[in-house]
Amino acid sequence: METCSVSGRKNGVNILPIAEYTIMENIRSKIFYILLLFIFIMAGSSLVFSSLAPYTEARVITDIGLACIEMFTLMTGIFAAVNLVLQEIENRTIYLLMTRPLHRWEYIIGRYLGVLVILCFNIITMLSVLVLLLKLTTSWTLSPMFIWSAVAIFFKMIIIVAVALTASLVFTSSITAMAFSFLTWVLGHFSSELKLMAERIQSFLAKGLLYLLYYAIPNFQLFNLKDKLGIPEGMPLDIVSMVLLYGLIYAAIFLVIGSLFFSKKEF
Amino acid sequence: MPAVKVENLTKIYKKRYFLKPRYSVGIKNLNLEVEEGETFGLLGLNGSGKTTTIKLLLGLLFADSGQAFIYDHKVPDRKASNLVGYLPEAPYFYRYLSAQEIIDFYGRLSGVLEQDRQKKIDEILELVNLTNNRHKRLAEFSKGMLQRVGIAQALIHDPKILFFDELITGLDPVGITEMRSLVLRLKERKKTIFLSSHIISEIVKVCDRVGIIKEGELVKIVDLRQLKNKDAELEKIFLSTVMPSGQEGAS
Ligand SMILES: Nc1ncnc2c1ncn2[C@@H]1O[C@H](COP(=O)(O)OP(=O)(O)OP(=O)(O)O)[C@@H](O)[C@H]1O
Ligand SMILES: [Mg+2]
Repeated sequence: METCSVSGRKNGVNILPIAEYTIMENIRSKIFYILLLFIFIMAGSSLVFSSLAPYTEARVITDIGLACIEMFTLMTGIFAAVNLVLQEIENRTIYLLMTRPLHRWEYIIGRYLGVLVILCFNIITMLSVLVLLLKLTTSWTLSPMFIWSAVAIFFKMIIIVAVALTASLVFTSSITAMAFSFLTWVLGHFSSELKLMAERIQSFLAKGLLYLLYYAIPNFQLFNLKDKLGIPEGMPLDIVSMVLLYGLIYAAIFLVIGSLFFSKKEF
Repeated sequence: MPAVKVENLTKIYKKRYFLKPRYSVGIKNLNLEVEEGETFGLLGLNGSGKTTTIKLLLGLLFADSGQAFIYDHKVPDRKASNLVGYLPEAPYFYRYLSAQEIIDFYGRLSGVLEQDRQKKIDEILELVNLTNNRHKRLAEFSKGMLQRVGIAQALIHDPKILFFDELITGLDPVGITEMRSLVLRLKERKKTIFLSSHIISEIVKVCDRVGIIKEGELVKIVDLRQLKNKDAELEKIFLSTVMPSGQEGAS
């Protein structure tokens, strides 16, 4: 029946406003500026350090810099994703959201995308600082290796943010969810080792368990895009898109599970 | 068709303490109907089940048995949320947004079209008397001002039914008077209003009918339009209803 519909309304998909306020929330929080400050302090101190040891190679700075960026993004990403919804339940701001014509999965996807945008921005900021540093201290030039390493960091975040967000909805405890996400991250970097162990081990139970882990945990080793750079023509794009697709599928599966848990939640 | 209909609604809270389940009754077999345009008050002591009833109607909680309707939508239903505005008990907001921004945000979520939104926001801010503070962040707002933001977000999408949980708790006398005149104005606009309170003198000033709720059960419905000395009579009925028998009249 149309008797109760209201004019002047459009109830489309409600993901964008949620993503936008997630970004706004971040930009206006003090933590955001503390992070920026932290990045510049890090960069400044490494500048001092490299002036003390003038023969450091660009290669070394690049590797350390990228590793730092990855770790830093991982920490902030997991922390943000885990607290995203839990905070809102705790602050009771969730009431006014869940009483709007907003599907619960729309809220989850919106929050997820918002965090990814912020992380992307953070990665780009840190990369620019790193590039500046390299330019100032060495005779560095932009290489495909550098670009693909940076892209790989973002691709991995697509998965781990979904894992962390879902873990927070399943466990409803931020400590447990963070621990789960870190464990997933670590095990995901030993995917081939897991498989090898599963093949070799005798006990059926352990074998089954290892295979389960191997298939359930995303394989982060796939994301070592720079290792595939041996080819002189540069990076084959179909590899990149396959890896991206892999990440998106994993993230989607986790987000579906998270949304299912969230849709049963009472406030 | 009634604007709100509740049929045999039951909600039992389950909590686990070290794996042992604990149950506490939210509401039990609650039945009630609110007609369109009516102002209905749910009156009860602390912990009697007022908030539980409202949250069930809004889909924040799920019932264990029974059902509830907003017009012809069985809740929880996304379409029903277009028809209702909700002011939670002690509302919490994003402190980093301004009054203007937060109302715009909720209006957008409710699908209020871009071209109408600014005009509506202006109107509503005027109605709740926040026009001069519209660009201030909510972190700087007093309790009374936050309550008015709460009203504004409940009205932005022009809903037919308003749920006000404890509208005046914690407000000063001026705030209380303002809220009362606001409810009366909404009544003139033919809104259906469902409010909860434990303050008899406030309920009688605005409500048409009152449901008295005790330990999760709706024990009596009083039509205030049929009472002459509303305040005194409702107080008498309320006390004799909620007090354990044998204590009536004891001061
Ligand atoms: N989240 C919860 N978990 C367990 N029990 C709850 C929960 N919320 C409410 N209850 C219980 O349900 C009953 C009704 O609570 P409700 O909040 O609906 O009362 P109320 O009438 O709104 O009270 P008040 O006037 O204090 O706001 C109470 O006995 C309370 O202990
Ligand atoms: Mg209450």
